This record gives sequence, structure tokens and C-alpha cells, in this order.
Amino acid sequence: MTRALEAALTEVLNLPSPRPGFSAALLEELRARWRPRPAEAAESPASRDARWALLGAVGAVGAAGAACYALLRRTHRRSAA
Amino acid sequence: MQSILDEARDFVDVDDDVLAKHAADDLNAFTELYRRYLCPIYRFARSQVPSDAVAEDLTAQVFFKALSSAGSFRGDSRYAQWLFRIAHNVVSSWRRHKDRNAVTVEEVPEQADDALSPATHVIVGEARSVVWQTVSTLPPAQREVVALRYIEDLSIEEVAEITERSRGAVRILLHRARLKLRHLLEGSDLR
Repeated sequence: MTRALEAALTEVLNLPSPRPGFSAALLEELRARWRPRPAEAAESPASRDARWALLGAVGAVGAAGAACYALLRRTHRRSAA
Repeated sequence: MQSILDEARDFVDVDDDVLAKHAADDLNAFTELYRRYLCPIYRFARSQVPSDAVAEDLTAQVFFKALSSAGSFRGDSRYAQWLFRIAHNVVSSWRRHKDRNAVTVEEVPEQADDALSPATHVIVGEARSVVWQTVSTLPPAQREVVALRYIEDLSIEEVAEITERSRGAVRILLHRARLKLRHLLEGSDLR
């Protein structure tokens, strides 16, 4: 009974099909609504990697600048003392 | 319209998930996905609602949402799972908003898939109608997991993800549904 039930469920649930004409009408509507994704939204993996690399470089320069500034201040205080 | 579908068939050997990643930028890729999933989504919707017309309406909503959010498919799951998740949300929303006082009549679907040869049928004639009617008496949650399992052959894990339930809960729902169906179908023409 279990196998017969499973087979019957698979068969019966897979019987319905959309009415003739529905498929074409819906596809036509979908194609009318379709808009290509804006270029900026369609970011490629390469451009995403490049953006992160640039941000990383800016961050590294900033950190190096802050370290130099701190070192200079320290040196200046010591020499003043 | 036929030529549009023919163009999309250039993608016939391409995997669903690859097509899905291009669907936001390539209309033919989306069209091929539509061609592959129209019937499964319609069948799922039809198994959850009382008429062909409502099932068509919900099917259209599923594909409109799939089109508008095509760019959000990241490939974390199979495309089938992603699309059936949309279908689950659309059907759940329909259940919430339908007029609770309306009398719904469970119509047996009008159309049978003629592609199936008589030899492939496990059950015949009236028995099909009996099985359909019996499935439609299941509580919505049981009917949904039964449909996902037997229409698209989704795994328990995928059904759990789609319906936002635990795997254990899905197993219990399926078990209860099968018990109830077996009980209700005892003495029918199942062979």
C-alpha cells in the first residue's frame, strides 16, 4: 500500500497542467516586464575584488599615516622635554 | 512566442543554477528557467488552492517575483529550492488574505498531462479523482509538504528550508499525511 500510495501521489500531483495559452500569455507578460539589471548593480567578481583592494590600500596608507603622526608627536615631546 | 521558447532552448543543456545566475541579465536564460519550472510551480500551486484560475494567478505572481528578484539569487541553494520558497511565500500570503467566509469548492483539475502514456499510469480513472480529493482534505501544512516532496522530489532538508520548519517537523508532517491518506484511501482502486 505504501509504494502504491507514493506512486499514486507522484502521478496525481503531477497531472495538472496550465490551460492552453496560459504559458504563452504569462511569458509575454514576463518579457514585457523584464528590464536588464543596471550596470552598477551587475558588479563582476573582478571589479568587486578591485574595489576591495583599493579600499584596503587606502586603509593601509591611512594606518601608516596615523603611525607616523604618533611617532612624530612622541619624538617632538621627548625632544621638548 | 514559439520562436522565443526556441531561442531559450539553446540553454537546454545548461544547469539550472548557472542559468539562474544569468537570469537577471539574460532574458533567454530566464525564459529557459520559466520553461523548466512553469509546470512544477503550477502543480504546486494547484495542489494548494481550490481552482485552476487561482493556481494560474499564484503561478504568475511567483514568476513575477522570480523575475524582479532574479539578481538576488546567490547560488546558496538550488534554484528549485529558491523558486519554491517564493511559491511557498505566495501561497502563504494567499491563504492569509483569502476571504475566510468564502465557500471554497475543491475542483478536480481540468487538465491531465497527455504526455503520460496510459501504460505509465499507476492508477486509473476515478481513483485519480479520489486521490486528488483526498489530498485536498489534508491540513494545509501537510498538503504543502506532500506536494513539495512528490511534485519536485525535493529532499526533506530542502522542504524544511522552504517551509521554514525543522527537518523533524517536516518528517512528522509527512508521516501524518501518509497515515491519513492511507486511512482515507483504504478500499479505493489503488493497485
